[in-house]
Amino acid sequence: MNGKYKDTFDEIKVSEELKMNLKEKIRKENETMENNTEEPMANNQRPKRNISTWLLVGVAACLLVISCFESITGFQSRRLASANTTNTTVVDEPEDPDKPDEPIQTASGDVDKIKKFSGEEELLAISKEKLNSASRWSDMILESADMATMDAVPKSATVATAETTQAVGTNSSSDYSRTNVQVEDVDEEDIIKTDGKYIYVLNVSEGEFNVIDVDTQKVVVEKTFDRNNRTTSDRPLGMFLYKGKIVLISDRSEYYFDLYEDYDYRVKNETNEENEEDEKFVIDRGYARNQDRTIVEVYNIENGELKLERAVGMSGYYVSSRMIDGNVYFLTNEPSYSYYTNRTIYLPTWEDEVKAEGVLSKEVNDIYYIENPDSTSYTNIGVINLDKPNEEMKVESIYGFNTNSIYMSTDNLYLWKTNYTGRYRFYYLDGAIKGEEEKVDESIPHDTSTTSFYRISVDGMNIKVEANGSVPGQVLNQFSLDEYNGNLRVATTRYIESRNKMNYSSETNNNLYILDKNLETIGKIEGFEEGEKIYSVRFMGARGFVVTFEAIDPLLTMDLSDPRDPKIVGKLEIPGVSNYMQLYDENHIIGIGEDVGDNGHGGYTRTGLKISYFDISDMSNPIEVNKLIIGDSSTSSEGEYNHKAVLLSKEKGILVIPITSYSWDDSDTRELNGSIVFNVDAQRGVSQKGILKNDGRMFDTSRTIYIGDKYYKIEPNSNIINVYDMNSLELLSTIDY
Amino acid sequence: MQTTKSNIDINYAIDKYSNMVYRLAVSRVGKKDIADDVYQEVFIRLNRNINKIESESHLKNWLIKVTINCSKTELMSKWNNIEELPEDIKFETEEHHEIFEEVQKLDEKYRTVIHLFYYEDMKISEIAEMLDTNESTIKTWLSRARDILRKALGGDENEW
Repeated sequence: MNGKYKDTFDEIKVSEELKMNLKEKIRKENETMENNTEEPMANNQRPKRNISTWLLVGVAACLLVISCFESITGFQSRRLASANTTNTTVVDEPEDPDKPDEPIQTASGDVDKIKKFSGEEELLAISKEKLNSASRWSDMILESADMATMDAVPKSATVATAETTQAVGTNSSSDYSRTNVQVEDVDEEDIIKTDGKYIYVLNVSEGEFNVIDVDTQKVVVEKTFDRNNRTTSDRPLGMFLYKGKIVLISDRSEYYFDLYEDYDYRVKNETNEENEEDEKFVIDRGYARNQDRTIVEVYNIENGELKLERAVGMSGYYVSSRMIDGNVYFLTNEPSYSYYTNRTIYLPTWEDEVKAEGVLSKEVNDIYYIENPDSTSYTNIGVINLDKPNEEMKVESIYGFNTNSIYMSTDNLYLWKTNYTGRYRFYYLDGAIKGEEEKVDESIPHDTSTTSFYRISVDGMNIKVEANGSVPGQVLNQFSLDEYNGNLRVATTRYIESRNKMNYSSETNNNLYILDKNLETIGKIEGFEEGEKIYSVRFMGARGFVVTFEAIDPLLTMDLSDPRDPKIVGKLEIPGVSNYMQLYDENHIIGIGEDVGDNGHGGYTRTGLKISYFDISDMSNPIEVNKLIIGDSSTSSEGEYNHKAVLLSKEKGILVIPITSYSWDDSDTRELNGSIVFNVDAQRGVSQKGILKNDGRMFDTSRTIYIGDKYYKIEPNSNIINVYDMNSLELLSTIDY
Repeated sequence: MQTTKSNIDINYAIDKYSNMVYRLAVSRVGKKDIADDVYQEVFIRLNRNINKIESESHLKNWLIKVTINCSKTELMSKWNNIEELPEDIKFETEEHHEIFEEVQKLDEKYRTVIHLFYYEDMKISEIAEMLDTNESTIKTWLSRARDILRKALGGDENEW
């Protein structure tokens, strides 16, 4: 117990004035409610119609809480998935759960189902139906839950970045590391980049951008993002480098000071409405109030100054971005209305001075959607070309979708979204809370989730929404998707409702689907490794690798050469689990994950960071060539869940990842904070070379890049770069900027 | 739909939990006027959801969660007067001011864990549940935060 902290905060008290003011506000609000009810109601009771509204606000708030914790912890989507399974509610039901249904069929072969709105009336009618429907609040919950799985880049200061060589097979002649990307030639945004001459670092927690000259070891250019302005707050998210240009992506929150008044007014108005059917829905072509927008700025460095060449903005919360040949593709999700103005339907908007001054909005009849969309959000895709600064930005929008994240090949951009369903689920989410009798719709399948996809073809600035489809189960992350010969391979974990006398939960199994260009399933392996979940996935051409986990880690090898007949051909069962698989060469994979041990309660617990080196040259007999177990239960690496934190060079035979250790008593383990360097030998595997210790915040993340024969270990949140000799790991200098 | 009258009276909740909510908000947002707004918003939301609060402990947990949420979104700062600069929290002693300043330099999540641990006397397991994460993560955050504070403010193991 720290007395000083307590004493400090004891001094902080709510003023009586503020408290009285609050009580008065609440009294007035309750009065308004009561006056608008036919029957007198007790304090805090609401007229019927409004209860659902408050439930909506309340439950959405709760789920936002969940999503914000998700973002604090930076957990992957599987954390969310497991949360679903632990939902326990007592129900009086026979012991035997209903038999799981047959797998949900993937979307029918109706290629023409993607359409555009005929006009404003159609959008308004759909919005009205969705926003007034009984399931509206649960819809909202699920959308909020979806938000949690977005990999919107820096959730917190500790989510930083690193650099690495390109994907397997690259023979880069330039001697500096690049961001470790999923697909060769498809660059991914990051907070640290280098071009060999300069190191570019985004300090996300402080909102700073610094460019450091590698030769002089001095900051040559700096920029500060205004995070705490009274009207706006800018948050840097990531960057690209292209032919001497710097692309900075940031998020801007803009504050509307009159919202609160509006909100009170709306509440009052709502309760006075005679008939919901008469509610007037309107379209607003401005930026949606109280929602974020994503800003993309292109800079040149001229005479030591950062010179803005171009800036564009697009409505919505940033999802992710990619760059191919100087075309920057960036995506946002955007609710079509805000809580505060829910009769106002906003259109996707953007700003691009090349086209016009001010805010531009998407024409309603240029927005894609499919029948019966299960969301009221838009996913927006913006593209600019860095070689053509005078060419207009292109924007496409899909209504009824908010993408969890993206996977991009050189030809197609794939969006995916988890849809939550389940025969009993809605009862437990809604009816059970209200104390209603259980009523379930027998036509709803037992899967608690499905994943739907959009395929968007990409050719430079030309993007076209081409296909929509879905598969059972949930996708873990971008590595769960891969395109090969025009087909999409997707690995999912399927959650199937199971219910007995005491609880409601779900059972898992795993699947691999192969979808054609219309996103119709043409091949599949279903139901493997029952009771386990997918922890990592990687594809290499016609081969697939899936790690599932419950207590032991099977690495499954798959032959996907015939897309209509995919097969599991091998299985390696070893203790521990790989949370990320790094392709090394065509015969080897490096697993970064955890070693596990019995926790004494019938489960397992982490016992250390585990690096595995797999030989997959014989697909029917994958081998763990060697493994390293480092530290103790407190030891982990950002590389387990963020591939951009992994530095790998096949040419140099090195692997460097951040490492964090905390042990309450063991001071040796505490030394394991910084970056850990491994030698990689194609035949013998991985061996530990040394630790580059942190200088700034001891437990903070650090990323390592190399330029020439030196490592540059960057602590982006402490503005420190340590320079090491790559062979001896001797500290050469420290750049404290 | 049936509604049941809540066992919890809103004014009782305000009287009992005002300082808890306010201090947590301050630890999160650091500025007086933003904390004021977060505080009000939390109880306005409570009033709208009070029928769903089942018990005293549910109430407390609900308030902590929603306070973190409201502070996180910083929604309230949008409703402040544009003319004014954020107002700092004032302390009676220089030492308390310094401690507060150093705590504010910590990451948001560290601040939250420190506050719940040191001020609300919550157990690691309770904080883990509250933040929907596991105990080892909370231990890690707590220890990182303590290390940073020790470095910045001095003092030995027992102090932080």
